[in-house]
Amino acid sequence: MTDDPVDRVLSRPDALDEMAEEIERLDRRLSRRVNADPDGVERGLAQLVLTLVELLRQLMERQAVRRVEGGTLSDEEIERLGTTFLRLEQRMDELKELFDLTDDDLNLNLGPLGDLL
Amino acid sequence: MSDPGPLERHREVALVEVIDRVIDKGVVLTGDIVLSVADIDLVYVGLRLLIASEDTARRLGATPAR
Amino acid sequence: MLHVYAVTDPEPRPPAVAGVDGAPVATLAQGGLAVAYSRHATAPSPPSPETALVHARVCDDLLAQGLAVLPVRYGTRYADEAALREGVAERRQALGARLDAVRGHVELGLRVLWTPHPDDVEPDGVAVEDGGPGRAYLLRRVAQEQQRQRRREAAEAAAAQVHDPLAAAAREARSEVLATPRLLLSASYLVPRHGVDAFRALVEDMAAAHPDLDVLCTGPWPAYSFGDEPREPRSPV
Repeated sequence: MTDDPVDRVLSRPDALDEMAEEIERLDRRLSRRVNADPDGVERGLAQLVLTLVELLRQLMERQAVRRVEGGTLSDEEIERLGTTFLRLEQRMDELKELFDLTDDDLNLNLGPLGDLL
Repeated sequence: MSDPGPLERHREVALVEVIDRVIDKGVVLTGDIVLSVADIDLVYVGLRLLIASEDTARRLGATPAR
Repeated sequence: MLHVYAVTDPEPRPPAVAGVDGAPVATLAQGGLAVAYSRHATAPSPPSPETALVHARVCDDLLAQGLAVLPVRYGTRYADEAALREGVAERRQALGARLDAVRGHVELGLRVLWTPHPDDVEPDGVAVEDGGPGRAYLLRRVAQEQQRQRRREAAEAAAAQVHDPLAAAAREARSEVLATPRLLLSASYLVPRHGVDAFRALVEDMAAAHPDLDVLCTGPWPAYSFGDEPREPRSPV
């Protein structure tokens, strides 16, 4: 390798700025490490817990969606399930605000499942 | 804030590519992986591995990874 | 404590560049492989742009020596040489196989941006004839998931158009579709050392054939992305 690592752009995108933004966004989602903040351990804990809750919530919702699509739920069951999820969403919004966390903070890249949020 | 010239921008992009490779790719040996100040990050790595595993993905109805 | 940089063919010259925190880089041979590492009295610096560059330059130095190189992830640490030897010995066979695969090759990286089709109507305005708010919420989620699934299918198809011919021209490839909503494809291709220009030309042709896509090609890199066996003919990056 004769080039320094930072000189290895071979072909340029037209929208270099946008490209840089997207890669950086990916980097932030995959790895919270590079910008680790030693004073933010408590916030980090809240972030972890809420991410886990969000993960479970999203997975449960996706399962419910499949059941609705599969036609195996009665109207009453749909209404009840939906109301529960609606309340969960509202509670999550409150918690996010309480800990000053955005959707992006709780987002996880889940590979083949795409992004969590 | 001065606008970075195209060369600077290339370097920034290349740097992010380096960081991505060094920190998120590369072989994992069985040493202790020290990630950052908080061990919390280990949970995220575990979570991703768990959720993104082909088996889980298939069970959740996702198209398996390429 | 040891910080590890890469697994290589035996046995490299000690790199001309310094390692993390200025520590010199040493090598040891174990079971037909070699490992490059540095010794530290206290815990080596955590990952940062600066330390990542240092780690990368060590891997580059090793690759420039003409050996097969498998960069090791930043942060792989061992208590001492004995523990390192043990760690390498455990994975000797798998590492040896991967070294064989990457020897004489380099990695080229690809990122492709797209603009998702604007038929992605925000499904908030789902008309619900009757039923309560719970039902409305769930039906909205159904519409969202269907849209998400459609977008993924479109992305897989579009990405395949770009990726498949390039993967066919490379020894191995790793790829991921929609790592972010705008990043249609993130891929790495294992290409012979002297085949970089030819591959680059293929990438340029591909970019020209798809003016709606924005393409970034980087490299050549040591084979960072090829440390694991491919799962399928194409695997996640």
